[in-house]
This record gives sequence, structure tokens and C-alpha cells, in this order.
Amino acid sequence: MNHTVKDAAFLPFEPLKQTNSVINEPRLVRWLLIAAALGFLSLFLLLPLLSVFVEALRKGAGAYFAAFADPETLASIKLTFIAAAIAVPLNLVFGLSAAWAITKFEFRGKQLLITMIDLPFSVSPVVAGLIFVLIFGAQGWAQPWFGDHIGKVLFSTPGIVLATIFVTFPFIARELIPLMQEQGTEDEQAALSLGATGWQTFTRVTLPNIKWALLYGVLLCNARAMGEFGAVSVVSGHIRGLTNTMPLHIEILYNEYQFVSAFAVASLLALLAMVTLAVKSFLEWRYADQLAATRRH
Amino acid sequence: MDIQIRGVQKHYGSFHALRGIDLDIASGELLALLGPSGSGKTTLLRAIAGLEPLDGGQVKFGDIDATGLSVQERKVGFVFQQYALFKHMTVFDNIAFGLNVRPKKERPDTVTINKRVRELLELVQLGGLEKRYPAQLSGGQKQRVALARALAIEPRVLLLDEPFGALDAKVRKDLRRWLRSLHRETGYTTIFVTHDQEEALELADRVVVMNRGVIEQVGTTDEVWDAPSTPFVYDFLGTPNVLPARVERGALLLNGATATLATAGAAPEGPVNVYTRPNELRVVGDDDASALTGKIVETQRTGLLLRLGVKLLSSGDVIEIELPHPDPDVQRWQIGDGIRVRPSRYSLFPRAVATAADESGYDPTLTVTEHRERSRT
Repeated sequence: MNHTVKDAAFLPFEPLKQTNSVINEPRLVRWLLIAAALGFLSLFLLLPLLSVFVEALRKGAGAYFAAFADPETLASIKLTFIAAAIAVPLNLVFGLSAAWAITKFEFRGKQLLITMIDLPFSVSPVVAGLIFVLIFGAQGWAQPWFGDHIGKVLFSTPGIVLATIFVTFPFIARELIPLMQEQGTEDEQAALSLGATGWQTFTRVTLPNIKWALLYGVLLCNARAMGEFGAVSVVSGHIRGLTNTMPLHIEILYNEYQFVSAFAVASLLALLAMVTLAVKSFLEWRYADQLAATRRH
Repeated sequence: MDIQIRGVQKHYGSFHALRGIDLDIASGELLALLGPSGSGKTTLLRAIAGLEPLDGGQVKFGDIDATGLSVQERKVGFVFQQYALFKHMTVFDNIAFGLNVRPKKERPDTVTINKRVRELLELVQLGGLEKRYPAQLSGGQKQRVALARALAIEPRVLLLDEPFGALDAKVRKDLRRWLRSLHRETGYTTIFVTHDQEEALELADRVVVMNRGVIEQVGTTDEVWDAPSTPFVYDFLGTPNVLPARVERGALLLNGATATLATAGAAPEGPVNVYTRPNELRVVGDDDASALTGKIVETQRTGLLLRLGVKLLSSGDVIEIELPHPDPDVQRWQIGDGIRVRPSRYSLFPRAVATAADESGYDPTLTVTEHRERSRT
């Protein structure tokens, strides 16, 4: 008698009763699908993430926070933020220009440019790092001139920033190109015909049209810039307190059996990633109306 | 403001979109550019707006040579086919856009802008909707916002690209009537593009029929309908019957038939095509010597019209005839009946052999938009 009520209590995703019976799977199938999805998610995503925090707090909050008092750790955190703070704005400008050029103009070599934008995705980060070693290394072809006029690139902050820019280049452009292709140029033409200057058209029409894609691109780009290991590892030289970013510092700490410190720094990195995701979700929720409105019908 | 267009040329790569267009548009006129897709009508409209750079020729607004002017400097009101409303702005901000982007010295103050936008909203009958976003409007409402936005800058000329293309039939009819009265009220020189002949003929003072980058005919509705100047215009405005014939010593001989017709003046000697519309054929009696005889092979009743397919005895061609549906008392036409008809109105055009040179650069599988996209630099 109370059959349905009891079952419903166990089933958190009970669909609306009036849904089309054709697409209503048997209860067992539904359960299995949900269990499989949740199980997979917990096992491969949640559990590892959780273990990072558990390991970091194993010896208590005191040890956890003590890990951050280490000047080398602080230096690595600072360097990571510096690299991201330079790489993300630059890639914002590069990505926007590249997307603009590709979607609003026809020119020779456009396909090549599109392929080139994807290069950092397809090349292994280690190779990306090696590219800079070959250019700026002791035997590199650019080093004699650079060394004399500008300063050291490899094994110092500029090299790390360069490698970070290279690896994170596609994120913003890739996010913008499909959207801008779909939107075409009619809005811009309309703005121009109404007397707007090129800059007014860009700031008042183009930018609002792409701001969400741009924001996602920046968030993803930032997450990757802070988390990059491979390419940065090759060019950094691992000088403690000088050229170690957070990911590199974590590896060193771990190799030296300083597990609490290693996991503490790792937890900070993971936390930053989660904040990024949270900001993205929050903005999506907060501006849901606008998001829906800006999509083409 | 009157507009003069002289020898305008436009290429998209190898595609010759406009082949030397000459056109004079009077101040306050409502003009339609009519043609099939690929005829260059939208290209011409965009050329007037300055959205397409020209390869040759001149566009003048009154005494001003606009050829070298940028889109902004031309001050035209352009309404796009898909409206191109700014999605992130309210209706109010959309309409005020053209005023808000003016340099500080020329920009009206907030009160004036407010007043102007409200006037325009009333004009396009959208009062009370100023806080809505474009996504919350119907197609017809969006169209009117786009129009108000274009009118806000007090344009020299109003240009509309397929203004009713994206709307359903009922809305389209209402909007057409409304646009006509709006034009009467505001008096802007207005040019609109359409591929719908009914729309063009009903709405416009004059119609420009375009085909393959040239103007085929310019005239009032009556002129283009009653005296089509080329076979293309005949074809585009209806489905004429085309009868091969010859002109000999001033007399018109229909192929294989004994029928002769007057040549109506200056027809050249030699092979010609006779163009006559289905409703211009009259059923005649046995005593008419210049009639065409045939047999009815098809009958179709559409409302008050009766359409007959008649197979001519002389050539075997099937021609179409439209008659008012007969009174139930008189004879009903049946398939297999013999019938004698005679064109009451017709036009003659020399039967030209199509030249291969005509086809150069014309790829019918590509739309003009694609040519435009491909050649954009």
C-alpha cells in the first residue's frame, strides 16, 4: 500500500510522475545508472582529492599551517602567482586577437593559424619546455644576444613565464573561436552603421557578446597556468626558493619524504582549482537569465 | 535625400556580383530591389550603405559623393535581415545606441535621448516594452525595434534587407501595411530588398528587378507587370507560356501552326519567342483564323480560377491557360476536349542562343553570401 511512497524516499532523483512513459527506464536500470555514475565519480575524482586533504591534515592543523611558514614554500607560491599573473593577461590579449582575426576576416594562412593555436595542446609539455632550452639554453641560438642584452631566461622567472604562456595559449582562443564564428559580424556591422567607432563597437557590442566565453577561457587558462608541471619543470632548473613553482615544489617535498608539507601545498593548489570551479558555477547560476538571453535562438 | 548610383561594380573573387549598376532614387521614394537569390540585390543595398567596398562606380547622396565615405559617415539606417539587435541591451538601449555613441559634443543630453526613444517607441507601436530584452520579443516586435534603432540616428536613407523574410505570413502582411503607412508618415527615402514579387509590387512606389548583377527593369508596379521589358522579368513575375515563333515580313508565324498574329510594331525579323501569361490567353470560336488549336490534358480548379493544360496540336507543347471559373450553366471543360485559344496580350523577344561567356564566374551552387564570405579580406 505504501509501496510508492517508501520507494520514492529512497530515490533522490525521482522524475516527475507525468513524464512520458516511453523514456521511463525500469527502476532498476535507473538505480544502476546513477550508482555507476556516482561510484565512478567518487572513486576517480573525489577520493583522490579527499586523500590530499586527509594526508595534509594527518599531523593536525598546526603542522599543516607550519608547512606554509617555510620561506621556500612561500617563494614557490609567489612565483606561481607571478607566472599566472603575467601569462593569463597576455594570453587574454593574444587569444582575443587570434579569435578576432580568425572569425572576422578571411586571409591566406588562416588554416595554418588555427592549427598553430592547437599546437600547445598536441605537443607534450616536456617538448614544449625543451623548445625553450634549445632557444635560450647555454648552446641555444638566442642566448648569446639575450644574455648580453636582457638577461637570463632559462632557469629563472622569464623562462617559467614563457613556458606557462606557451602551454596555456589555446585555452582562451579555443573558447572564443566557435562562439564568434557562430555570431558572425552582423552585430558589429549594425553598430558601425549606427555611427559607433571601431573601439565603441568592440567594447559595447563584441565584448558583451563574448564575455562568458572569455571568462571561462580565463578561468581555465588560470587553472592550467598555476598547475602546469611538465614544461615548467624543464625550464625551471629547480632552484629552491628561486625557480620552483608550487607543482615543482610539491614534487621536491614529496621526494624528500616531507609528506605533510607536500600535501599541504598540494591542498592549496587543489583548493585554488576548486575555487575556480566554484566561481564559474556561481556566475553561471547568478547570470542564468543573461546566459540564456545571449544564446542565439 | 535623393540617391544617384553610377556604374557600380562589385566582384567577389571571380564572381561578378554587380555589373555596372545605374539607378536614380528620388527623395522620399519607397523603392524595392527585387530578384532571385544571387541577383546582387543585397550586394547593391550593402554597397549603398557602405558595408561593401566597391570595385568601381559612384554612389551619391544628394550633392555629397558618398563613394569614399565610411559606413559611419554615410549615416544610413540599415535594418538587417536577422535584425542584429544587441542581445545584452534592453529595447531602450538598443534604440538609444546610435545617439549614445556620438562624440560628446554632438551627443544629445539624457533627457533629449529619453524623449527621442519614447517617441520612436510610440512610432513603432512598442510603447511599454522598453525594458524588455530582444530574446523576450516576437519576430515582428524585433523587426520594429530594429527599425526604430535605425530611425533614431535620423538617417539620410533607410535601407531594409529582406525586412519580412524571417516572419510568418500573417505578421508579414500586417507589417507590410504598417511599413507603408510609416513611410507615408516619416517620408524617409527607403530602399528594401526582397525576393517576393508580391511584397515588392504591393509595397513599393517603384520596383527594380535585378538578375545576375544587372538591372533588368525599373518601373512602377503597373509598368513591370504590364510591360515586362525582358524575358527574365516575364519569368520572374509569373509563369508565362513561351511559344517559339518566327517573324517574317512583319507577320508573326507560330511554329507549325498556321496562326498568324500582329507583331505589334518593332519586332526583328527571324526567330523569336512569344511570351504570354496564362491569364492572357482567350478561348475563341472556330471562326478565328489566328487561333491555336489544342487538346485539354489537365484541369485544375483553384478557388475562382480554372487552370487548363493544353497540348498544342501543331508543336505538341503543353501551355497553361487560366480562366475565371465558369458559371455552372456553361460548358465545363473536360480532359480530352478540343479547344481553340488566342493570346490577347503577348510580347516578342528575339530567340538568342545562350553564350558560354555569360556563365563565367557563376557557380550556381554557391550563394552570394558564400562568395562574399570567401572574398572578404
